Amino acid sequence: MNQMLPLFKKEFIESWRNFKFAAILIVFAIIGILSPFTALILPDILGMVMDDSGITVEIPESTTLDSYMQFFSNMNQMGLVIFVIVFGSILTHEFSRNTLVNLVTKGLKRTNVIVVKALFLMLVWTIGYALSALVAYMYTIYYWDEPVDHLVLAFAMTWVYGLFIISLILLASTLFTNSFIAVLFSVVAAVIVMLMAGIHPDAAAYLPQYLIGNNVGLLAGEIDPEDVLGSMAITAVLSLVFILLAIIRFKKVPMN
Amino acid sequence: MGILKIEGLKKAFNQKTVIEALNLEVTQNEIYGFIGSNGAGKTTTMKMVLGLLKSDGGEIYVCGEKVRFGDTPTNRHVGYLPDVPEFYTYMNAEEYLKLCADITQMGKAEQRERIDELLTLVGLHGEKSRIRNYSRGMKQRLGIAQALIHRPKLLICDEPTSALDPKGRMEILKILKEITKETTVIFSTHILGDVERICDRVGILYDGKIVKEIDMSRGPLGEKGIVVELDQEAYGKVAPLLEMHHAGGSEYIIENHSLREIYNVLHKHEVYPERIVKERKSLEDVYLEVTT
Repeated sequence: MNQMLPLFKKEFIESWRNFKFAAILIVFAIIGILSPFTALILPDILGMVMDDSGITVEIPESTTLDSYMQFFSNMNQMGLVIFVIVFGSILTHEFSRNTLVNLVTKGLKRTNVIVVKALFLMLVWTIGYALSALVAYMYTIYYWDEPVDHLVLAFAMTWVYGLFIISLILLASTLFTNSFIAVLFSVVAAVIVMLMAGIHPDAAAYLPQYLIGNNVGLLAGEIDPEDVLGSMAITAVLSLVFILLAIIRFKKVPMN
Repeated sequence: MGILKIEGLKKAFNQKTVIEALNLEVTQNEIYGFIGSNGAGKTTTMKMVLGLLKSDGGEIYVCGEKVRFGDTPTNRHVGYLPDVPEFYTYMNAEEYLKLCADITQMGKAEQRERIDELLTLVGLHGEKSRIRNYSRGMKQRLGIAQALIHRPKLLICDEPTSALDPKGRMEILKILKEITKETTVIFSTHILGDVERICDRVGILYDGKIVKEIDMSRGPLGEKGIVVELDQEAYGKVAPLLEMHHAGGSEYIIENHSLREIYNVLHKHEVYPERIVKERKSLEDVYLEVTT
């Protein structure tokens, strides 16, 4: 525990001085602002395009649901991809530059390295995502002021999926040590495998991918809150298992 | 038992044996020079001592405790200076040493005192710029400071001077010499002059094992022979009478004749050499003898 605090502080200083933390906050805040705004102006833009083309179609006014649809679409794709690109090299960078050698040879426990990096990534993800969700929520209230059910659970689905991606980054980093590209490919490959497995209707509801494919469905009442609990539990357990595997693997990684 | 004891150590990479039955013992407060050609296995051996690489056989003991691969508790006794130490370059020297001290779980009051002491020792006291702006020599000096932060009983230096200019090298050697009052130093290098300058004992690593150990405190390493500088004509006159071999340029080494015999022959044939000197063996000579 005593080694974890200075290591955590080091992670914070690193991401602050390298502007990574600030970059995530800015990007996520922009997603939070732009999502409701895009939903608000989309009917007007479509209307103008239609008018120019001479087509007359009745375009319905946007709703709260459209705002959250934009938000989850942006966050589940762009937000997560940016997070992986900015923070995906948190461990591989240490391998490629040999920066951990000085600390490990001073008795730094390798378990602490993985635990601290996992906790730090979770904290950054939580702060960035909470900021984005809060901004999106406030603008949605401001533009429409319509209540929706199960909003907290819908937000939590993407948050839990983000934790899963973090555990995947750490496991892939201990497997491929100094190749950030290999880590990126691993994350992409895992997502593709989950998408393919999700084709089977019996499996779909239990995969992590289900969480980011059904946020709006939950808000629209197409699925019940109970329907996402299985997937959430499995995603949480998988995240924990991946982090444990990352610790076990990291203990056996030679440092050249 | 010594500070470091290695018994029958083995290591191979892709079935190529690098270390084969290496035995070594280093005693307290000495500077042990670990020399060998590039790829001889010096760094591999050191990394196995630090638990960073897994050995294929044999045992390593630091202060009587067995070294394990991975999180080895023996590292609390050891400081390590890699050949090119890498730091978190967005920190300054003081911040980095504080991180290292925190990792070793040193108390706050002791930390402040130790960091001040080490920054003064390595000449970085008051240096506030970030490590990314440091020269190679400054990084190497900071490398020594971080390696010594927890007052290790054993300091392992992997080619600490190989990338430095002569001034930088002298500074590092001076610091290493100074710290032997409280720390034993193992110092790997292929710069033999550095070893001759500061080491108490030297081990030559060749073919995966220590092929020769030399106690530098016992004085000269033996006679190399008598070096005579002769022009072609003079050489022609004395060559049939003195057993000599060409040492390069106009220099010849005579091994099996006394100085008196040589003077007599030269005088008799009215040969007056440019230079005649009784030369002692250098570490390089010994190294070449045992490795070729």
